[in-house]
Amino acid sequence: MDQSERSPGKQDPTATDKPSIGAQGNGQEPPRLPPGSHAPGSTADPGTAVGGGGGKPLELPRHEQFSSIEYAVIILIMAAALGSFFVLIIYYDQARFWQYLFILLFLTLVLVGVLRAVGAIQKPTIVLGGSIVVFAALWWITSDQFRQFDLTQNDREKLQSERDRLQQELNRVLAGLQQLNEKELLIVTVNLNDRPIRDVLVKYESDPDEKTARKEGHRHIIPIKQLANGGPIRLELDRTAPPERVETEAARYEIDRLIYLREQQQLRLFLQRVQS
Amino acid sequence: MWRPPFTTFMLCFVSIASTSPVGGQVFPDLPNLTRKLQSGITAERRNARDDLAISLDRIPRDQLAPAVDALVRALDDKDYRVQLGIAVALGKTKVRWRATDHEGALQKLYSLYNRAEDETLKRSLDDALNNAEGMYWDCIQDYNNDVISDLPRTKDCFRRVYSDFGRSRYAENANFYLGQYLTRAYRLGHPNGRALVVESNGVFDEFINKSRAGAFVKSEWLEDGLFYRALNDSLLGDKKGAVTQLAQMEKLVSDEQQVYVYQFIFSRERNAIVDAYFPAKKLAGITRTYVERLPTIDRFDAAELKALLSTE
Repeated sequence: MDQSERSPGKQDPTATDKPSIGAQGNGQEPPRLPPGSHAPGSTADPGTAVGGGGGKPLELPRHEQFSSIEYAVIILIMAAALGSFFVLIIYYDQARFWQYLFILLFLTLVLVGVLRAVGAIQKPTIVLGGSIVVFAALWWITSDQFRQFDLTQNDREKLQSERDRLQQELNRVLAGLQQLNEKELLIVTVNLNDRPIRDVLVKYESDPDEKTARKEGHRHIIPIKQLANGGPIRLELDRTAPPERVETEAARYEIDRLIYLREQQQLRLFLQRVQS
Repeated sequence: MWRPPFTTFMLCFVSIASTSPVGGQVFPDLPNLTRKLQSGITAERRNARDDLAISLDRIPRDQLAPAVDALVRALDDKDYRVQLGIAVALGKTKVRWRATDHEGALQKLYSLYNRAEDETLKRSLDDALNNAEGMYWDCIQDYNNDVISDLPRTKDCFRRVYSDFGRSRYAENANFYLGQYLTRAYRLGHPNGRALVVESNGVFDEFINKSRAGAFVKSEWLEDGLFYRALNDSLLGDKKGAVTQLAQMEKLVSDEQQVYVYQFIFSRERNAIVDAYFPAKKLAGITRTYVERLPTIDRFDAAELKALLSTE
């Protein structure tokens, strides 16, 4: 209903009970202008304003100011986020944790800001408690996944470092073989108990392409002249291996250690079976 | 980078075939993809092969053949990397590929495989060949998934691989796993019953003879064949036969050779899974001693044998 159609004296019963639109929704009674005064910028005739002749003046929104508590909370969260950011830079070995913390704090700041803007948090004093609740909730939801991720990343890095070490060792052996003018490199793949493993193919870099070693059961032969300098050797599951293993691709092998037996002229790769 | 005209022609052909209503919008970026197959950067080449395989998997089943036809034709290219890239992709598809002239495509791949000297290309062509519909990976899928509903088809599939493509590395596997499959079908309750185990023995005998005569390009399953031939006798209640087979195995093998045991006797129970390699001679010896001790062969218990081997 248009307000001008209201009969004089009849007042909207909600007008004094609820804050009008733009009253910031903070639960506080909006400030009222003194009777007879004219709201700045308003073109409405006071006589036809809300409440009718001599009634209440028009209520207007005012710009909300942050309270000192809210300022303190914002500064606190930003300081913590920035702090974690600087610690992240200084202590690189703990980088992932500080990254995680930084993101959580940043998210807390954003979420609390949103909650405040939509009116879910109305009193400045609740902002501090709300921030703690939001941070705790985010931590509770994500910390397990973070720990899991962090663990996997750590494992991967350790594995990568071990692979690099083995690769360097292998490269040293290969370089030595090339100096010995051996014609072929014989690689024998065995398990940790030195039992033959025939499930794998040995691949090696040979300029300009990757090649597969000639395979006879668990023996793999590579012409040394084909080996590119320092080119990596890697393992692949042989597709003619038992189909139970190939089909599910559940089994993988990784090099545990390698030994070059000079008298037998063979490189023995001790492989460990891992589940993927 | 210069590319032979034929390659360019084939790229256009495949591209047109794949974007035509028949092929659908299946290879929108194929020319670029195939260019990557020839890339000088190893990682880019490898990724291109994987991408090509993924693209093939995404093509609707009824529209796959025209795209495969074009790829098989592109194998005429003398460029090693193009041949290798296509072979690797066809060998990696999760869906068993099919060409319009399927038999022609299989023969072409087999012919290229026989002519190839490079070990990597040879293996890739062999993988591609055996990833086709009606070839090794098709039948082994029935084996792995316990499908016995169309036994004649699966049997023909296995036989075809080792009879018509006898120089393939998969021929030995196909012959051995046909023997295994028939026993498995019996254990799964196929109506043909124990006749399947008898048939399996025939297949194993054929396999052992061919393997010992060097008919296969590789010989990795002979010890396994001897062992499972003996276990078949235990299923038939032939204790003497099983002991004789195991004694023969002991003479023929050494502990340098390995026998892979997924299960001693097929069962759907998880605790029946062994999934390990055993030194062949030791395995034959322990199993023979175990069988000899049994009052009757129907007391054969795979779990007991498993426990015995793990304590030795």
